[in-house]
Amino acid sequence: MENELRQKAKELLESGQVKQVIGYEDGSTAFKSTPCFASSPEDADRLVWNPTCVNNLAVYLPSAVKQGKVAVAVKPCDGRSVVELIKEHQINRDDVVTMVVPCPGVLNPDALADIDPKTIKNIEWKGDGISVTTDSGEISIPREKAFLDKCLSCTLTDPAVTNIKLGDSPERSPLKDKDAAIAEYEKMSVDERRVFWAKEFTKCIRCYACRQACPACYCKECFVDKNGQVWALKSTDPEANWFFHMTRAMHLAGRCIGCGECERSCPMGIPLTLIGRTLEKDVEEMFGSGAGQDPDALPILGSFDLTKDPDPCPE
Amino acid sequence: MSEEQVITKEPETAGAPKEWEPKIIGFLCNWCTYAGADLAGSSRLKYPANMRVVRVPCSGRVDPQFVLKAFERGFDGVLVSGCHPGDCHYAKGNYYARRRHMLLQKFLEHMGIEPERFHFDWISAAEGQKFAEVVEEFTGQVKKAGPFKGVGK
Ligand code: SF4
Ligand code: SF4
Ligand code: FES
Repeated sequence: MENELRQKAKELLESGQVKQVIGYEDGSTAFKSTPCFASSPEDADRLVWNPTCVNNLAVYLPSAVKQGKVAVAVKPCDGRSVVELIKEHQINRDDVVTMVVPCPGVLNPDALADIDPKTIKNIEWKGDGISVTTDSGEISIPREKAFLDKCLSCTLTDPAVTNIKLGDSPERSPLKDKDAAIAEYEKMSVDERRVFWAKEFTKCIRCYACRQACPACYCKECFVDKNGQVWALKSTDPEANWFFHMTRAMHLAGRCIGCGECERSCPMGIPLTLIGRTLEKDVEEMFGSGAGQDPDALPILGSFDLTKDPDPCPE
Repeated sequence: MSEEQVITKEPETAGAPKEWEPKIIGFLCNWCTYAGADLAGSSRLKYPANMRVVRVPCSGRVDPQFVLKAFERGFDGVLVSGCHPGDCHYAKGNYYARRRHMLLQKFLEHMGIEPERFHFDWISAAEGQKFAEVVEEFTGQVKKAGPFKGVGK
């Protein structure tokens, strides 16, 4: 698969079809990969595809396309971010070539908790889980432990913007219910939730890693950075933190595709995907459509339906 | 009497401790609800005086941020009201507003703010009566929900 990916990338770069290929390359350790920006056929040899390829690379597209056409390696979930970016006119469909990689699931770092990180040499897919090569031999980790939650509940097929399909899509047999966490959360009373989030948001140090990692947070100037119109205090007082997260959530309403990059990048362990999924569910229930499906659709909050939208006081 | 005493002195009539009154903010569309409020006033209709009114050019002007800010600042309730469907001065501002605020209300509940504290409605310039009723009802509803405990603790 990796060879096929490199081959395709090389072809695209050699023929001048694209200026740049965005994919993954080996990171500083064997259990991390890092984004790779290949602009020459030689660079393409650095590309890898393994369970550590977690990042949603769509986040780089709006700025990358400014230099010319870009090919990007996407997992089915990340592909939905590309759909959103096209739908929201941040990139042109013609400026991006999606290379959809077959994804059995990506690494949950917790799976390595019992292994001395210094001894890890390689991580690859094996059976329906992963195999970790260490100094003292090979360790197999089963699927339910190896992959991120979003992967264990994944039912996604190729995104609506597939250009090049690499390998065969793996079979999907979700192990987890996508909404198990939500169901658990919803057991709380309204006031318990208020207290829950007050506590969670108090932890936030406002590093904005969540926003930076988010492919939907592409605003040139985020509302929290504005100096003229200070909507949210820059200090980390609990109210300002709440306001930042609630506003960010509303900005992402109907647009969040649930890649989970915000939560994964948060150094304080705030369960941000819970917010995204809650809102996504509300949107689905109220307006019947979701994010990242149709590049030609109108944004949910940038459109309306005269006959079907819920009304506060139906006549 | 010191200055402070003068300021904090209860009016002579206050016997029992003063009842808690909710603080409510209302974002009213200039073309309909705000005029409806005017009509309620000039018709001398009675309604509770808990609401601070912010006049906006259209319900579509009301960014969810306004509502969130109000709760951040500790308001006990927020009302957003605009022209009826089909009557928006800008043709469709209220349709966008409707989507946004119906969603916001649900989302607020999921994040810990009782739906009783937020109300979205249509009130036209001719509906002074409805304005008085809505404000009365909403104020009662917020009162019942009690003082808002805030978002930070
Ligand atoms: S939080 Fe809102 S304003 Fe800030 S970058 Fe994201 S979408 Fe833009
Ligand atoms: S990544 Fe976490 S700590 Fe940083 S701003 Fe986002 S929620 Fe706050
Ligand atoms: S002008 Fe009143 S809602 Fe648009």
